Amino acid sequence: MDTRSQLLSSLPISPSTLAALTKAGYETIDDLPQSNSANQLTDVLKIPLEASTTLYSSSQRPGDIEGSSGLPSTQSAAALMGSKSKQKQRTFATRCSQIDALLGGGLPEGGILELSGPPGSSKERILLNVLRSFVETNRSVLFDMCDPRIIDEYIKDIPSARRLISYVKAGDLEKLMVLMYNLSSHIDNTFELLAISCITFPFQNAQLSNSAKNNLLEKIKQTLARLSNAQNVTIVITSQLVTKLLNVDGTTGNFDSVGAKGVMVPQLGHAYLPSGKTFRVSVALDGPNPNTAFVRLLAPFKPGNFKILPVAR
Amino acid sequence: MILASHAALSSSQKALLKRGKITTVSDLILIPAQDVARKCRVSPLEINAIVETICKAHPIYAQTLDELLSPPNLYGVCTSGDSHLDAALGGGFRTGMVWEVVGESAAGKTQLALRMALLVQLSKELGGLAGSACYLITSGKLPTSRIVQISQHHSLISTSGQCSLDDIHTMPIPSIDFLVQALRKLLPDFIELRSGQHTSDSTVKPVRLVIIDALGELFHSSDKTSTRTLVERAQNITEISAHLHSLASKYGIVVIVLNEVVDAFERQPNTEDPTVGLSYAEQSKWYARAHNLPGENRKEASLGLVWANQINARIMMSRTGRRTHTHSDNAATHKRQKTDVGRTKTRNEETESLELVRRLSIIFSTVSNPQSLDYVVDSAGIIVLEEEGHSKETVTAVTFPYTALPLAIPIAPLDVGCVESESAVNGRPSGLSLAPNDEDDWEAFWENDSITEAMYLAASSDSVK
Repeated sequence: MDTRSQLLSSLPISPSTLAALTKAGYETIDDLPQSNSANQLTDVLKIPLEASTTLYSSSQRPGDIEGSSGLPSTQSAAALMGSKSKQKQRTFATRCSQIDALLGGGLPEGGILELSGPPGSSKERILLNVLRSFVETNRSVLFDMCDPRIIDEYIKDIPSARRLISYVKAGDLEKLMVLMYNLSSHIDNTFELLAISCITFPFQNAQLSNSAKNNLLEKIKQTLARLSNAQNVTIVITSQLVTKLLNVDGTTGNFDSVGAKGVMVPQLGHAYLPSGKTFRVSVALDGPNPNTAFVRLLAPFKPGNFKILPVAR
Repeated sequence: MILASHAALSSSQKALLKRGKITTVSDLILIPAQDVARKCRVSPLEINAIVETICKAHPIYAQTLDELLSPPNLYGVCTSGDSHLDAALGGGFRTGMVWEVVGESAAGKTQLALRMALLVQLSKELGGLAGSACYLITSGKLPTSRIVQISQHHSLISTSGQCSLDDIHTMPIPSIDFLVQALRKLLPDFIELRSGQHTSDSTVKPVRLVIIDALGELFHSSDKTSTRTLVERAQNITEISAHLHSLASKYGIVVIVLNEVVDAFERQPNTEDPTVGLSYAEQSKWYARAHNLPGENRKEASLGLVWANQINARIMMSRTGRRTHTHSDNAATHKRQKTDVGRTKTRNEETESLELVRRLSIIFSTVSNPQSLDYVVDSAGIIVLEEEGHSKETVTAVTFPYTALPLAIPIAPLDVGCVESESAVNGRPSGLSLAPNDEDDWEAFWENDSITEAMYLAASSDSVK
């Protein structure tokens, strides 16, 4: 679940420090790398040590308690994006009116959309719809790992679409991280939509320790934050699910918990997504036909206010 | 890629990496920079510089869709040998995808696979891929006489003169380890070899089809299966998948994996609370079962979510116990040869005109919509029946009473493996190295684990072919 994020610009740090942070793609406290010490931030960003220390001490992380006090007034994702960008806020249609409604009218330019769901759900279809919305307005797309033929079938009636769409295949974790690094270090990426389908695939076969995996997720988050904040790139990602067992009382169970129920959650959690810019939509099956489904907004999370709506074609 | 021979690095950089035993690009990129720095006994800044150099040496190379899809390329599609089935599949079996064909024994999965091993050999003009097939078989031998029969009776194959047993290469895979080893080395080497041979001699057919018959057979659980085994097996599944997808896209191969069904139990649904996750019971109904005919949903695909996540399409084949008269405009169907002695029912011997009608349902696919077709199996393989008057009703799921099993686990065994591997990693006390190759710690952990027999009451697999 996402917590609302405090803007770094509201913290007591100097303009040059703020500039260095913004340039690196950090906008809110949650964007900051969690496990790094102030020293590391100093080393990496070349900001004064006192500034780093200030950052870390004034960023009051709520920890596991959601919606805790201690944070100053919070802002909705839409408001954050609106206040940041000087450009007119475009939105891009997912062509599912219910999802567009959940997003507040469509996916905002520079926003990040995660679509998670079981096999057979229409998450890929929705990603293709967004892609189409970009290509129709003559915007360029970089996609990773989708089957190019499926994309082609989807957009071939749009003139010049094929030339607007570029393809990379970062099918294993090494290639994915090199891609993330390179995307992050380019200052002038030429694409306006980054589509990844699906981001969980390279991770599932990697034998990684927890700390190594979290480190990689953090790096992905930094790349996505930079692309979205500094370059206004819109990002759509599909994610597969993993099984968890839940005890009756809601705690995590294991195989010998009596009465434990199986649930399915996005495989990578939310650690790889910058908060404040990200919408997480869950696409569930409710019948054999993927065109009817339940979609829910997992983030930004409003307690007691999730939407369950059937998706029309 | 090995760092020691990487052109972009200086010799001092190579030396310090060697000192820290950082040998491949993976090691460098996937291990946190602080840990790499510590192992190499240098500052993180130096490591960051090396990472930067390496990443710059592998810049983003993006091709436009235009470039990618212009010929020559490895994208292709192979006919299934039946035009109705081709239409349902989105043109046929496309390359670069992992297709699953799942069903009860004697539903016709092997029949489909055997004919594909012939059809792939056809020229592209005739609907094939001008390729050869690798048939990986878990038990028994390749039913060669049945293949010959199909090749003689299927008009496209028999008139082409392009298909033979010579271009079907069999590989036995009697265990999971065998399969993993085959996919790591034997099969890629063989495919690469044929590809090379084809370059110098165009009459040599490169491998364009890989069939695994049948994956589910390798993963049977018993009451003696330990948690540790389940965790390993869940990892085996993802490794197998990674190899299959890699081969499929690198060489433009059609991968068809045959799988088994298990009895479906009505699981108690959760009250939906989206903040904790989707209901496994509810969702698995839709991606693991078919719901087009009464009774079709009594079986579900085995191997759980962890496997379902790996495949691009799931095709379920079922016997249904229905019969139909063969239509006069179909070629007279000859009785098909039995592939396993004694297993085929011989009820229809006296009633030559009544065919056992089976059902094929596409449960999900990235390249076509879910749909459902009737078919029969005859000497030429799978023949899809045309609609002809019987309406295609989508029947709402037939529910049957929840069978309460003592300590029944509500999820598939391999998904238990996934749950356990997650909680094993998460449950470790902090401060310890969490590297999974920390052998002693893992051994100690698993020593304390056991799994009870009752766990598997829900997971009886369909008894085999």
